[in-house]
Amino acid sequence: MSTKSNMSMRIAAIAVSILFSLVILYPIVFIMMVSLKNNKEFYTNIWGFPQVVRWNNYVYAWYEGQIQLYAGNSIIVTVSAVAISLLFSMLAGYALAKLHIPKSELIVSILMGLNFIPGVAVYVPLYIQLIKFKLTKTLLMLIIPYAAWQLPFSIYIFKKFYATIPSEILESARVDGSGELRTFFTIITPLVTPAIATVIVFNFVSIWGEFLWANIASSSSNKIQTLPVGLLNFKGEYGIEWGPFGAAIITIIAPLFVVFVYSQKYFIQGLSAGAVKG
Amino acid sequence: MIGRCTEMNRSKHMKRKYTFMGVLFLMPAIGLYLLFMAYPLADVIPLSLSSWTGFGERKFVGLVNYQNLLGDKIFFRALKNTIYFAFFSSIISVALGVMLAWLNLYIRRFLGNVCRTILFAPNMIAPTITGLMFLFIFTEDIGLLNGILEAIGLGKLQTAWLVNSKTVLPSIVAVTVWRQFGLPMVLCFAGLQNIPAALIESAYLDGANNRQILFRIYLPLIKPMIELSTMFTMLGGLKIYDTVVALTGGGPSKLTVVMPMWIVENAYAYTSFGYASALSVVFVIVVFIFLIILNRVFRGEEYEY
Repeated sequence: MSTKSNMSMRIAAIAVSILFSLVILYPIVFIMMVSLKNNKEFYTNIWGFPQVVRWNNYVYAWYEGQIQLYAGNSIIVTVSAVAISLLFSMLAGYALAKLHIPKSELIVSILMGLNFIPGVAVYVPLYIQLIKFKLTKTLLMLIIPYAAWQLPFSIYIFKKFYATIPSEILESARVDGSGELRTFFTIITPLVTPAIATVIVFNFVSIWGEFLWANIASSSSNKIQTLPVGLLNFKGEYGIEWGPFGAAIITIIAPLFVVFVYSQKYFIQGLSAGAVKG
Repeated sequence: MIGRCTEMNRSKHMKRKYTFMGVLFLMPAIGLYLLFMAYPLADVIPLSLSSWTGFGERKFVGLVNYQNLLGDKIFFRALKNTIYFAFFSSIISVALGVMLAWLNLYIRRFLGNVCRTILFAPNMIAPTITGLMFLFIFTEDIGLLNGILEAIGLGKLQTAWLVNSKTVLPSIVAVTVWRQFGLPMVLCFAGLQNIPAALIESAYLDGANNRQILFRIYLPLIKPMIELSTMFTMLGGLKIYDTVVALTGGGPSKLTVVMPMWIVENAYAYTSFGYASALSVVFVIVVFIFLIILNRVFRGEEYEY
């Protein structure tokens, strides 16, 4: 690989990769800088670093812009929905992989097929149903459907991982008289921690950013607005205040980047699980 | 003989016991999914055959809602835009992703890791947020894009990107591509990494150049990853809604309306739940047609190494 053509290839590769990285980074850096300027400076000094660093924009976005409320809702909804879908899909994945469920392959295929159906197609009947269950105007209106929609993919991942555990481990636990639930939680599940991480990260990202259903649901009460919905309103109300608006955007994406650096591997693992045969 | 018989009976009995446990384990998940996805889904078709505003009795009207679709110009525009977004955002994202994954092979490991992390990062940002972020870039008077064009002497290309009917759809595609092309890149890079180095080295020894290696070896071998990438980005494109809401709200004058938006508007602004359900049914059919086409396009020889 030391020929001349490979040298120029390498230089071209570095140049193009760095160029694209800048295209990704620059808008984010730009908004970070905007988030520290006031409107006057935004119009007079769009490009440069802020002359006076105005952390105040963040305080303003958090309290006046109600990011506080939206963030609280988003955290409650995301954590609960992720927890429910995780527990249920673990149990189901295990049952389908190891507990002699007839037609288990077919069940997974049907679930994955249904998973292709865009959520928006069921929102009307779902809304009607939630009224019947008296779940509107509460965060449960988001938590329960979110948990349900994440199930097919999570079950698919868990079934795959549980299937790789040798049945001998199960047998010997059973012979030792360990009950099925205990075997499941203390012996089997610790062996699939990569799957757990994958499912958590994947579901966290999809639920945290979900907008369409959250927007419809919060038409029943604006107390249940999540971050994506709230931020859109923020734009409506304070559209001209670019500084606090930028601050609100940075507030939402900053925690994600922290999570991201640690979890990138699992996220990709989850996505590529679909391509691996078996 | 007798011993073996009871042994078999016993194992059959045990198996049945575990199946029973299995059903118990399976029930919470299946129950939740049936209640909040499958059951509402089953209700969409009867709803689409009725007229209902949310109050009183549903009235069965047969295929009237579907007939009304044919005269609904905005429906056709929404369908066209949705297909446009699905097609262009997936093709461009996958092409860029494959290219950058391939280039990544020629870069030192550390720099490659850094670039991949950066390029994949926007996937974590919700589409609503990326849409709002790009308001800063596309806005006419103070937007970043017009500023850059001015600075590099292409000032005459400046335009109101989100108002001009020629630029608004490509602008939305650009935002979507910006957000998602890192995904095909990491998937394809994972595929490329699995290809044995010996295979590539022997191709070099046989005198193959970089381009031949890309088209004859790399691309055929990562076909499953390319298919998967196309599927993810295409489904993402079909479901585009958040980005459009944040950038244009469907405007100017409904030019950028997409299927999910028209469904939601009919249901919640006009309370024509029947008509919205008919739109939903058509939307689901379109999604499955796309999946079938994708499956056809990628069918064919499988290569192994």
